[in-house]
Amino acid sequence: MIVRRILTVGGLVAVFAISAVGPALADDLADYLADASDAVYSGSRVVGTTWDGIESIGIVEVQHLGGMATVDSGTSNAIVGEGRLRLAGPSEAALLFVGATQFDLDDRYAISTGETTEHLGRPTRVLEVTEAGFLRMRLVVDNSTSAPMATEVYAGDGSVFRYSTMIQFSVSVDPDMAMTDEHPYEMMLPVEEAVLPIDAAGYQLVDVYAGPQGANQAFYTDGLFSFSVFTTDGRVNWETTLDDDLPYDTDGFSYTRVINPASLWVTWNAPGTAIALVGDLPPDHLEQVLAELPRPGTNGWMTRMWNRLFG
Amino acid sequence: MADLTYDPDLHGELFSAYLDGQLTPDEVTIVSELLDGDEDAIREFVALRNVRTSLRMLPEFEVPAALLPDGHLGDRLSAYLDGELVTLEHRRVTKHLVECSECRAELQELDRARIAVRSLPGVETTMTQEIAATPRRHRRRRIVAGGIGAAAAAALVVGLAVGGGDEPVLVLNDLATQHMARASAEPGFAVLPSAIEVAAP
Repeated sequence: MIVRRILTVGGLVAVFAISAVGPALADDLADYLADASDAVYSGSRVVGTTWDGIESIGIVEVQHLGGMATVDSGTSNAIVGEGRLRLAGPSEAALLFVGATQFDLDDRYAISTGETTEHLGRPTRVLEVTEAGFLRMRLVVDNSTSAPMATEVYAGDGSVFRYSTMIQFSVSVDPDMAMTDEHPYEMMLPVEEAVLPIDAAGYQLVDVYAGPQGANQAFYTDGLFSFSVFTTDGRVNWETTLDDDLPYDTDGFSYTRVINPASLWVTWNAPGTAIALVGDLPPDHLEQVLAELPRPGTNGWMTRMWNRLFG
Repeated sequence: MADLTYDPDLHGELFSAYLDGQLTPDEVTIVSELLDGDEDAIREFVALRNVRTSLRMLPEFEVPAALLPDGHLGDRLSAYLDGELVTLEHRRVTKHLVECSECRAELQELDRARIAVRSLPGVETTMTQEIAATPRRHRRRRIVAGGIGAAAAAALVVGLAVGGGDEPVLVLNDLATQHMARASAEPGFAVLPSAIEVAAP
């Protein structure tokens, strides 16, 4: 096993100290999430994101067993869950995250059980997750397995921002689904890094890791949604190197965004730092988060000259 | 006033059967007469009823699957499919299913049978409109991708613009993969659609 020893004891202490300040657990929602994590099922799922009228859709085959899921798109296959991910194919990756993995749900979410219904002919129930009285997420949950049969995430304007729907469902899973994986994983350990805010619009900075190609990964979550902020020194010409990128202007600042079926990427250059945000948070949360992170901009001419001359 | 005198040995069983609704009309008449003024009979009857009520109020404990004779789930698979298990028992059954391929196979067979029954003519199902509820408006631009390959549309190597060609590169797919791996340790990962999006090659 390849192990990257990039951790200091002090770093671990700092990281766990950060994670320990998480707000209280919302019991009911936590209970459901625990059940969903343990659910046993397989099927096909349609996922889509609609943001500012732009829609991105995908279909995947999913198997879920024992907290792990296999995801097959036909062109790639991955097994992911519980901080572990192995991506098969030309760009193989095998990552194992350890450390703060029990971040509590933010008490800003509440859950209520709605109507009893059916999905794909199966008895289901509706769960509604609200944030300060605002409907943030609606789940259709399979009664027997607790699997999420359909999910709708709402943006701040009340529109459906992201949705997923099972279009095929079974309680069976492939017996060969890897429960014991002997593949070597790159173990990711937190590093001591605190240049970004420890709280961004209600999202807690849980831990920081060494990212790919010398970048740093700061992981934030509010217990339900999450995102990572990747930072690296210098500037990246995002606009000329991304496909399907779109301008994204908010609060008078210009960013670049890529909308995927189940996630969004936002990239920009702050003074001296190139930044990429990758996550699943809804757009109104994103706006609030961006306001707490370094804004797009360039170093002043004097600063650039000073750095060039004196380092 | 009742003509009968209460005899515990003779009439005790009658009270129990009465509470179970198992008496004949003639026996019901006897019990009614006993309870019509015989203080001993009334006291015994009330005590018996209270004991039964108390027994019903006791919590029910399920036998852990591991303690069952063959260690398997048996009839609880049916309750599992009906969504009738309470939280603790549901988790216990799910944990067993994760570990036991035999019970998973049995569950699959049971589920198939139920689907077959539900699909028979005359069996009503009320399909929800979840799929129709997906957004259809404001569609200025549509990006349809075959599953997680959608992410590959933006999977480009991004070179650092400063410092020349030998600078390290950032691959957005690698960033997404790394985020997904970390996020999968969080509880919300089980229900959010992001659980299915992994960077494609």
